[in-house]
Amino acid sequence: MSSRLAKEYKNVAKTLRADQSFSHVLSLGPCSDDNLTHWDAQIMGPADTCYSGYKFTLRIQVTDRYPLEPPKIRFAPFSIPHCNIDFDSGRICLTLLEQEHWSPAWDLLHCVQAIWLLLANPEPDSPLDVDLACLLRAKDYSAHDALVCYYLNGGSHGSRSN
Amino acid sequence: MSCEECPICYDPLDAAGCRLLDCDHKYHLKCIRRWHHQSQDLKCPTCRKPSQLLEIMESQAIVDLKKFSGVNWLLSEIAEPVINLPGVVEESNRSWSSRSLECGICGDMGPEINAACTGCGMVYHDRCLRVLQLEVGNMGSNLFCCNCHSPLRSSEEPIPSASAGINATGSSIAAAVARVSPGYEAVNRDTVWYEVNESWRLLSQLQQESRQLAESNHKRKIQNHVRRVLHLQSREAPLGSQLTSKDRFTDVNKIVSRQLYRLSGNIYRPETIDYDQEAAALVLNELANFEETSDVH
Repeated sequence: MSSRLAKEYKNVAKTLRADQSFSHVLSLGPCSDDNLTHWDAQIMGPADTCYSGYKFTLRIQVTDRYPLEPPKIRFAPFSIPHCNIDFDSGRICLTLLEQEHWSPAWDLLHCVQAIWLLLANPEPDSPLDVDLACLLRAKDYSAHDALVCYYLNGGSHGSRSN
Repeated sequence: MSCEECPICYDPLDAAGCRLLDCDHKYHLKCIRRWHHQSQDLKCPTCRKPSQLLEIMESQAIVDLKKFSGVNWLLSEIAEPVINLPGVVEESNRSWSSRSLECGICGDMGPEINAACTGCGMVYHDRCLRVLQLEVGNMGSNLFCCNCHSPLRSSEEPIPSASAGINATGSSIAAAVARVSPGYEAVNRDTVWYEVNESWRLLSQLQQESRQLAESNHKRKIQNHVRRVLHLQSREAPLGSQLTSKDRFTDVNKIVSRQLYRLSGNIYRPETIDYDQEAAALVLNELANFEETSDVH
């Protein structure tokens, strides 16, 4: 399916250039031109959230069976505190990226967009970071935001030292 | 010209396209059937609406996806035109698992699978086994199953199954496949072996049918030329007057068509053979022969 990836690459470049509604996606493309199975993306944290003003890197890996199989997408390790993201590995809990919810009609830009939306809309009921999820469930948003901010600014806490 | 793209592979939709009737979204037959096989449901990837009927755009054949999805999938993998064979779509609402037809090494399936384990029923490509043999450096490794180490059997050997007496129509495939039921437990060697046999038989039958279908297409095209020439000839006296009788017309048509198939090796190749001219010559020859023999009588 590498021809599909090549076409996606072209489409993505065009969309990012032309469509202002994707201005939060700073870049999305293969790491090198001769291997289309590894992509990198850079996104800006959504405005009006505790992630606003920060840049995040996504690592995307596409298997041979793409688009029948979803791409594997992670944040760079130790880069983002979020209740649906494992801080140490950058693993993301998002149903869209699971095989049973994936659809081959989606592309990598859709995935990046969905992940960006997840940053603004955390889902504390299926957490990968229990501490942040507990704060959200208790509706203690100021504590949640403060904790996120602490990590984003390189705070150290046990294995999460940055 | 529409320049619609298949939402799965992003290549342009051409004659191989098909349409889900419940939501009107279009895909390549191969792409959508692969996805249905992978997702184990019949939802449309674009709108998630479950779909039951699919129309193949070129032939406008309608396929019932709920009935018999395993075989439909298999058919679309092997030869798309075969799916239009009458009978494949009707009968039996049992589904059928095509898992038992995947190569145990590469996971692909298709008609070229040609080895099966006599113990657990796993099937393999011969080429995969050979590659494995080279990789592990064990020259005997292509003789035994990777799963259970039982001896393998290759498809050149005769298949000892209940295949006798089944003719090559779609409905008999349906009946044969319905016997291989889903969720089937590998309790004993014979039943597993039976399933593998059935799978093989099914594959070879499908191959044969698609070959026949292709052949009949060639024949039809050749016949068209013959018929046209015959119609022209029948208007020309004196030899053409023979052709006014229907029997004579059919006879000459058959004989000349058969000669033409042989001449072109059963393949229609208009670029190397001028069928109209050849047919005209053969028809005249045939008519003259007949004139002679009837003169003698």
